[in-house]
Amino acid sequence: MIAKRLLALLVAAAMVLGATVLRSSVFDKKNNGTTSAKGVARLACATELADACNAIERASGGHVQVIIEAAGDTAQRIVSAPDATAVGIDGWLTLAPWPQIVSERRQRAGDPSVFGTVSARVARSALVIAVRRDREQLLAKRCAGAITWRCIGTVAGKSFADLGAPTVGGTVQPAHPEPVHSGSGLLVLGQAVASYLATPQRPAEALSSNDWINRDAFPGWFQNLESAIPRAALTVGADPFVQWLQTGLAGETLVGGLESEIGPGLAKTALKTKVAVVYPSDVASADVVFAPLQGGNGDLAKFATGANAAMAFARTGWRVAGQTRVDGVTTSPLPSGNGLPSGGTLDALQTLWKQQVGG
Amino acid sequence: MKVRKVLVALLACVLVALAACSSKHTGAAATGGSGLGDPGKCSAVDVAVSSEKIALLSDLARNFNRSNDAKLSNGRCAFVRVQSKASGSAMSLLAQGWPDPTVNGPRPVVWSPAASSWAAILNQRLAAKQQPAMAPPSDPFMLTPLVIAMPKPMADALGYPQRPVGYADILALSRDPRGWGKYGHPEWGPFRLGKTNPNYSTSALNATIAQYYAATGKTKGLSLEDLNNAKVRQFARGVEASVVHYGDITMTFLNNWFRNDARGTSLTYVSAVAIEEKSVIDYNSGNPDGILDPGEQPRKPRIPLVAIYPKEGTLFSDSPFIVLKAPWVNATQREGAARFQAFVKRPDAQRTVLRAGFRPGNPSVPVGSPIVAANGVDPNEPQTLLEVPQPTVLSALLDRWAADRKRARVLLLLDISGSMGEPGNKTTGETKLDLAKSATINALSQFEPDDQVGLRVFSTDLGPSQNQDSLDLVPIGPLASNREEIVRRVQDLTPTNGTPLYTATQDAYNTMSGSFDAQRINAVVLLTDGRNEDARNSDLEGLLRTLRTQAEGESAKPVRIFAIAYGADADLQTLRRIAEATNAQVYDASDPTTISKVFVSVVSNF
Repeated sequence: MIAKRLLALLVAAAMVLGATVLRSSVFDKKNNGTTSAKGVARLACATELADACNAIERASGGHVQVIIEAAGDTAQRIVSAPDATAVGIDGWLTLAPWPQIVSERRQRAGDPSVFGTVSARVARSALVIAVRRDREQLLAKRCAGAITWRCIGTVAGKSFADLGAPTVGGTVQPAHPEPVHSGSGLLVLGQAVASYLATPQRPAEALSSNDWINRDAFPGWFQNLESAIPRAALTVGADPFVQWLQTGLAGETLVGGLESEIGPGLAKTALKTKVAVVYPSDVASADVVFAPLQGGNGDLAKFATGANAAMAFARTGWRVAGQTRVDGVTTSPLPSGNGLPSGGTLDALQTLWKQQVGG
Repeated sequence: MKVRKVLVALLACVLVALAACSSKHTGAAATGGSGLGDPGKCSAVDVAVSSEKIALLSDLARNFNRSNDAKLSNGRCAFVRVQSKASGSAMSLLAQGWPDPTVNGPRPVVWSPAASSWAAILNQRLAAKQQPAMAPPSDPFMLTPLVIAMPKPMADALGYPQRPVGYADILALSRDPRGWGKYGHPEWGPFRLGKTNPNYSTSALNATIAQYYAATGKTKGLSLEDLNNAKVRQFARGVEASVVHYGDITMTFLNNWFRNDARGTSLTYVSAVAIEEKSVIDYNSGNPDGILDPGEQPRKPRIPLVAIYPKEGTLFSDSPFIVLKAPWVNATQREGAARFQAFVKRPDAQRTVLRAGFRPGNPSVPVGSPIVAANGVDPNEPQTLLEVPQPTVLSALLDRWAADRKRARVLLLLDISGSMGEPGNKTTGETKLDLAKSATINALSQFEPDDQVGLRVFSTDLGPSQNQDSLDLVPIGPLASNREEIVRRVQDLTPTNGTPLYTATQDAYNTMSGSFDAQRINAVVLLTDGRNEDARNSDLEGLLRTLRTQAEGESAKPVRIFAIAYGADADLQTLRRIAEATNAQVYDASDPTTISKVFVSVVSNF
């Protein structure tokens, strides 16, 4: 009798120990991004995709471990790795053309390629400009009816009094996320520069660094645009749109960014009546792609690009074919491509920005 | 038998469920204890926050510690402990690697100063020592803009809000010999500005930045060249000239204002104070220091304050949530900090933030009550935001402020009664007088060479004929020429006799009042470890009446008495009444080993 009781207690104790070990192993999967537990695929996600990626992780039933990181940081990590296995992730969900930028940087350095086939776009978002409604008409008037980055770069830093509105205080202050680390920051900068340089004969996708080198007025326009941006907006890791809302729109006049953030973000705040979302005529889009690492966990693609992922993106403000759009996301047309310069040109633009503005 | 087996199996299942699902909280850890709280078996996540949000963050921490959010991925739990630390002091401590946690509190994992500018200054100071940055960029979790708080009748007289008001208007008013007479109110006397010391206080740092911007006409890109521009400096000096005194916390002004309001003299104490919007709400709700003591009933002021959002623009105190990149922070604490950060950004926590008078850091929580016009503030302001200058410019700005600030004229009045010979630090064997001497000498370094400082001591039966209550050891004069003599005289002090507190205080006040210099901050720093022991003069009410009369009115010559209650036997209540009668402040140094720190706070008023 006593022996049986003891046995039962021993079994109970063993089960307790087992449960504790099980729980530890489940939690330890989340410890860091450098190692993974058996069978768990490590998915690096650009910061802009954090909400969707967290939903993907939750829906994966423990099969996917998500690492949220600025696109520029992941890019740097991949570029400096000797090969795909040294990167520490199985795949990367990010904004195009960041994988192309990474591949070209590695190619230039003579390093082997690390990506498998990059997916078709998984989700899209327009690149938009959020403008203070009480300044929108003033700017539009000054911009011949339509607010574009080309025009913004011209009027940036000028006082509204100089723009013919003596009763309006302050200056035209634009903002966009910094373009070295932020995935969307580089795209917005590309959109702005394309707005200045592109022509019907030479569309955004065809631009190269020669286009700004050969345009005498470009340096002045570029400098004028970037120097008018508050430094806080260009801080690494900063989200100028959120900063803008936090200060009750006190700082900037307008902020460029992703519709997926700005549209739903505004829809949730009381400030929505004070902000207009402008879809510039030189329309561009941020396209989400999945770049698998060679030799990585092959199951990851189905989690990152499958039906659950599509739902996760749609629910977090992205446009996905066949999915319902959330509040604040419109049906405004998007280009067939992305309406942006190529990865190589954006990379050169980032270098120019670092030389002239910061970094 | 079967029943027993089932019971054992059930017991095992319960144990399994408990082990798998519970965290390792202990009861003590979950509920917190006194002071910083006992983390029990949880991992302590120490959070150093600026004083204005200590109550709010402590509440949020208590809720977090009790919640499942405190569970960590390694199966342990986080326990957030919040300590109050003035932003400037915390910055200085972090720049030195946070020495002596037994005195300065535990080394923080998270630092939330009132504004990110402190993080920039910290990183700049570390960079100057070739050390890596400790404060990475971080997100604010609540905000409050800097405003110029002004009694409503005064704001009305200026035409605010129909007519925008800014630093340029303050400068013009402070320079006008008619003072408030320019606006038809000569009875309010000259324009008097209350502003704290930017080395310690965020609102003062922001106000100083805003002043310099106002002088340049810029809203961003304040440069070293701007700081060195003669016209800019003249503007800054002009604004500083109207300052009544400085100090380390804005609460001193708000409490004094509130007391004056009760007496009907708030309009002649100060005309405006640079504070945060949240403080205006607190003041107008009858809670001037933002902390309701047990049993304290808020009483709305007779004259409310109005928040003026300067027309040149302003800055936000943005309460960044900084997870420090410090050698003492481990991965577990980092995860706990991240979880707490997510917790405080949630809408329900952010509504708590709003209720406390701050603007939510999570934009999905709309700004609403109590940030409403009825509380003297405007949720639609500010319209223009000033850029926080580069760290190098910020550092230079503090240096420039030290050169441009209003100069002081201070009489150090030290008690050398017999009790000062009692032990002050049992470890080192130093007496209270020893500690006071060294604190006094250290404090001299905070003055500028052209500040005027003198030294007087008091005790009974002093002087050659042993019939004096006080002795001038070094007459007031420029510190540049007085410093060595003051140091020498302080070093020679020895304890003797009794404490003629009231007579010595009145005499010192009379001396300073009789030679009042309107271009300077006129003050007495009174340090005493006892209570009045003078049978010849025990008339405290008479003393207070005299001090109050001379401190009030449009033509008052305000001499402030900053009193330090030194040691456990000091008469803190009496000293508080003396200080407050002159619209100054009492400092509690009941633990003699804190005297150096207290002296630094006292001298921050100049």
